[in-house]
Amino acid sequence: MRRIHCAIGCELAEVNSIAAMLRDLCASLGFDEIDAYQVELAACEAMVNVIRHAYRNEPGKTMMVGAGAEDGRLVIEIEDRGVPMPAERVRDLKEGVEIAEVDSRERSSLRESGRGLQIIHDVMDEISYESEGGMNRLRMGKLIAAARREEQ
Amino acid sequence: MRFEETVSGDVLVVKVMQPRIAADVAGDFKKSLVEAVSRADRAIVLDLTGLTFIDSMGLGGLIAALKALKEDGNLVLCGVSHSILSMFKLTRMDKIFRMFGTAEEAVAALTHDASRPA
Repeated sequence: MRRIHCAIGCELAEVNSIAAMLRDLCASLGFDEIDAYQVELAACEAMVNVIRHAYRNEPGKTMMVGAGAEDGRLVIEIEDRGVPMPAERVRDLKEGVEIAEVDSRERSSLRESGRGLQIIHDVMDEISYESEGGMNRLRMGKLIAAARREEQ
Repeated sequence: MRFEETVSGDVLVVKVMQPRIAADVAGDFKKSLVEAVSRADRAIVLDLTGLTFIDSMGLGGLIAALKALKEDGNLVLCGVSHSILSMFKLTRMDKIFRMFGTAEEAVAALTHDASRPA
């Protein structure tokens, strides 16, 4: 089974190289096109959050990204040593946020950002986040299709 | 950010030439798109046929373009892949953006809209 384990510098462009590896990993695990896209999307949102919020775009920082199959799940782990996610954001990540109905006629009120955590919550089947000893660790799991069919 | 712009009757078709709109290029994408929309004096079709990936920051650029429209302006999307459509659904933005399969269908719909009495 393929696994990804690497450290990347916290440059936004570097997120794309990890995304490409995750895309290949999803394909090798049999994810369909839409699930593979959504997993790549969720992982990108999480990595960009580390760069923008944990490290506040400070150059010279690194994060560790690991991914692989484990007990019928694709598990992705992202570790950083930046500012921990605030408790209310961790709650949004784990429990989701009620999305208000949007009215296409009220386009001036549409938010242009702030959807990343909701995407991660909606896409991934399991999420945990812990911060200990200066290390923040986000762990996200997505059932592999064969395992999902067994659970249904 | 590269766009290909063509005029079809009263409609401007703006084709996104970049296959991936992620955080590293999202700021440039938003700026270029808002400029294109702001100077347009006609309805706009944003052709996403060549787009294979967009993240929430790229989506923010599309929303910014929608907000930059003039009061009576109109912006629709075409060529949205199933995968990208799934992201619009996750974020409920499928309720905000009108979408068509092809640029021709989108142009026909906007032309029809414009010909209807107010």
